[in-house]
Amino acid sequence: MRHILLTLLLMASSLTMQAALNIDRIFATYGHSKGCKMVEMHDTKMRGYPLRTYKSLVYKHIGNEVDKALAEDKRKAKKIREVVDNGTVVSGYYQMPSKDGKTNRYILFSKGPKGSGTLIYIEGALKPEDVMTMCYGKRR
Amino acid sequence: MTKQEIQQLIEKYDDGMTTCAEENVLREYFRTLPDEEMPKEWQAYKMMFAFVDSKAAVVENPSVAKKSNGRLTLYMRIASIAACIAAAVIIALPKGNASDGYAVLDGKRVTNKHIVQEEAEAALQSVMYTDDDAFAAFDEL
Repeated sequence: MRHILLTLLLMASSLTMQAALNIDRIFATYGHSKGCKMVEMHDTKMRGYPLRTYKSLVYKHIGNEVDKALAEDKRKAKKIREVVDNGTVVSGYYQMPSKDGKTNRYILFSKGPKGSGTLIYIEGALKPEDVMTMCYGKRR
Repeated sequence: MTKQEIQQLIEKYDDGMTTCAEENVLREYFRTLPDEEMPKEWQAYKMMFAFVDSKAAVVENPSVAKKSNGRLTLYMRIASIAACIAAAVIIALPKGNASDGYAVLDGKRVTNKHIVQEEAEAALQSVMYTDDDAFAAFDEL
């Protein structure tokens, strides 16, 4: 019994460590700041796709901080899709490793002028193709 | 004591076969070993022994000690199991509201469902890139 509980405890710790993303720090630090708009929803639907978690941050001046977090998370990404304009990454998404092997996790972002931009974290059963359709459906 | 000897004691402890003296060795080991030297797989044991230590200090009583013959009392065993379950649940629980959405706009929290949905939609809209050529490049990937 004790063995099972300890295993459970270790598994939970391990999952939490795997699940942690650097952008979490951005949401936590700047989500309540002036010049930022943060949204958090759970068990919701966006454009017809059921999502376990949706978090977004629209920001005006913290582009440098967001870029650092994105660069760190990009290293752990399973799949990377970026739009490069004049040599600069301006938009894209990263598929991050799943927490439970079933739920997919994505970071979506776009960058604007003067450190502005949008950062989105979504979690759900949706596949990369669904992300493309959900975000860029009008174009495809 | 070597790591291998400690590992053997842990296995014996898990089987409930340790003597009072051996449990004290384990307790002392986990109490004094610095965190940076602690193998990852033993961290849960450290937490558990620390918890047991704190409870033992509270309930230290000669009659109880005699009755339990140096072993953990039933109360302490249940409490340590409960602590492990609580810790596991706390670590595993997702952070944030369970199902209700909210927005924080310029530092002000808003829970109006329509506003939250509108802001979420606006954010999603803003990650859409409008250059057709860029999307042609996406298709090639």
